[in-house]
Amino acid sequence: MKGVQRALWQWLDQRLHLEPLAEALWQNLRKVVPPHVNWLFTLGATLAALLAAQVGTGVLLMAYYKPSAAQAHHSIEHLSYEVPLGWFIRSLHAWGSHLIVGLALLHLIHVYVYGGYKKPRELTWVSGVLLLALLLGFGLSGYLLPWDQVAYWATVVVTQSADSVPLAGPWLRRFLIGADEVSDPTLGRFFVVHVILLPLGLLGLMGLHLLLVRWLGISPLGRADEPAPDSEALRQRGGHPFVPYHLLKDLAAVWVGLGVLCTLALLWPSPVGEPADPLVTPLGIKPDWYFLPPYQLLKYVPEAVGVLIPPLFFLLLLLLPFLDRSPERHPRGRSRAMAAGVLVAACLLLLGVLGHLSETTRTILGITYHFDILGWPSHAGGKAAP
Amino acid sequence: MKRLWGFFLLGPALLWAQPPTSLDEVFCATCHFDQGEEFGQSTHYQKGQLLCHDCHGGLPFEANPEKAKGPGSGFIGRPGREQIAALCGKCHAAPAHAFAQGPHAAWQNAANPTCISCHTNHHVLDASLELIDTTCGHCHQPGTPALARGEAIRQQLGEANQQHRRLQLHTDSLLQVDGSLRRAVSYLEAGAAALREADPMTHALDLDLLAGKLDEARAEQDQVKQLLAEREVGRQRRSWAVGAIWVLVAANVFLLWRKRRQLQ
Repeated sequence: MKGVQRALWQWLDQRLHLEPLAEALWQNLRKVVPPHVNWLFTLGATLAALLAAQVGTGVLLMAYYKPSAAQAHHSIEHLSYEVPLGWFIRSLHAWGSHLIVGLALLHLIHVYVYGGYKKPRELTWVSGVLLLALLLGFGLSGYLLPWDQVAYWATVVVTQSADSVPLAGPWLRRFLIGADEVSDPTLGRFFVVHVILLPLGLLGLMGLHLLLVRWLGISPLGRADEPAPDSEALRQRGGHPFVPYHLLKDLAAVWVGLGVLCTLALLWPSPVGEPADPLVTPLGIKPDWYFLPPYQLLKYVPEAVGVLIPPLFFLLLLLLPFLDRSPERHPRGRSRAMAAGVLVAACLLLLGVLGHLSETTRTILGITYHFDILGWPSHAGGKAAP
Repeated sequence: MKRLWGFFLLGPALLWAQPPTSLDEVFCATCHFDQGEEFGQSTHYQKGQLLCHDCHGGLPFEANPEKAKGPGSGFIGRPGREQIAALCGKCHAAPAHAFAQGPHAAWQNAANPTCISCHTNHHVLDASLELIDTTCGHCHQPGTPALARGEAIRQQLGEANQQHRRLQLHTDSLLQVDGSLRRAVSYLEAGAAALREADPMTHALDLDLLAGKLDEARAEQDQVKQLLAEREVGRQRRSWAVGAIWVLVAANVFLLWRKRRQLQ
């Protein structure tokens, strides 16, 4: 077998002169990773594996999905109830989207805490933030595709906010949904965005992101204005080459990530909701969990202001490496950056929780509360039976 | 166009659902006070469906008794045995039809009951199978075939209704977490329709006739049961699959960890 491999390689090398490229790639993969690289540094590889799984399940779903308002919901029912393992593929895809956004946010927090966005890795950070925006775009466009009541009305809520953008609001909304109301043209647009435009963008940006990660190596914890230690110095401090040591760790994390995905899909399969009905508005419609903070924010501030905050926040994230010019990478030396990060994360978490609780009635410690549209609780009376 | 149809269909329903006319406005109850009081508690009045003249004729809002019961008022007074089934059958067509096929149908036979023998005349409550327990025994002795037939009808229809309610509750509770059970809803609706049709058939007192309809309901219930059973089997299989997946994950993580240890 090895003889065949060697012969094939020689055949290719004689024609394409691949030897120098392979040598450079091998040298890159043998780079020593810093000793502080722990299990948290496997988030990127797990994300890449989940994205690959998402592409695979997405292709299978496309074989049965029909992107028209008249047929979409029926095709989802057919897929879920009649196609062998169709429910499993669909559940893998749905849970995969949640896991990917969750892991991407953790990855971002991790890079922020370790100061991985600082010189010379500014472009790696920028490409990563753009990737996160693409992932949220996947979530928004994919949410509508089942064409059920929750999907339909959540999309109505989200796209209505575009109306409040100063000057271009109504035009922007019409551009997004392709009609006066969310309808057949909207589904067509969201489908094309979900299966063509966003995957193309993802492919390009992920390629760039991985290239930059491999080219620049994993960020050390030292100051950005000091020269990065070379492989020998890192080896002496207890570092190991990326291949095979860190790769084995990455593979183990990938196995666990795929295990979690399969478990979620098997134990909590995605339900098929009621078909979309533009004449019946269900109560308590909310977007997916990762859109809850901006959704809730719109309830507290004027819409014209509220719709501008999420894009401004993303712009701030993009420009972070150029705004935070301190060379210190270690979290202990960046107390103000850490405090700002914790504050932003706490605000987002609080808004998310308030959004989740709003317009619901819940029993907490035996007392029933009603959470109004702003998420404030009021005593709804009635004590639970002991 | 759909909305226009909706208006035409919904309009009569809204009129039907009006609150009942106050009995203070009905002059019949001024003299027939006891009957008025009983009627005030009846389901016919509470649901705003009937007033005195619907069964007795006459003009209920006319203060002058001579005019209220006079010529041209349509007053029939107390309906005779021959009129009762026809009067009730104006609204309750299915029970009246079944009653006409049953052993009590001959109104000329004074020993036979009429509608009001079991359902009463003024204080009419929502009909239920319990009426069989409380009324058949008025004429039939315990241990007689007639009473046994009534009990069998009550038991068979009661069990089918109870089974339907149980399946409905079970399905409703699971539907919130498992949308695949929405298929069961159509079976439950078909089963409920069969039971609704079976209900008035009790008036024919024919076990074979009832059994045919109950079989239809049971067939739909069996479909629901099968779906619930398939769901349970699927849930168990999925749990096993989760176990197998984690064995695979653990084995691979162990092998990778061992490889790393060997390299170090």
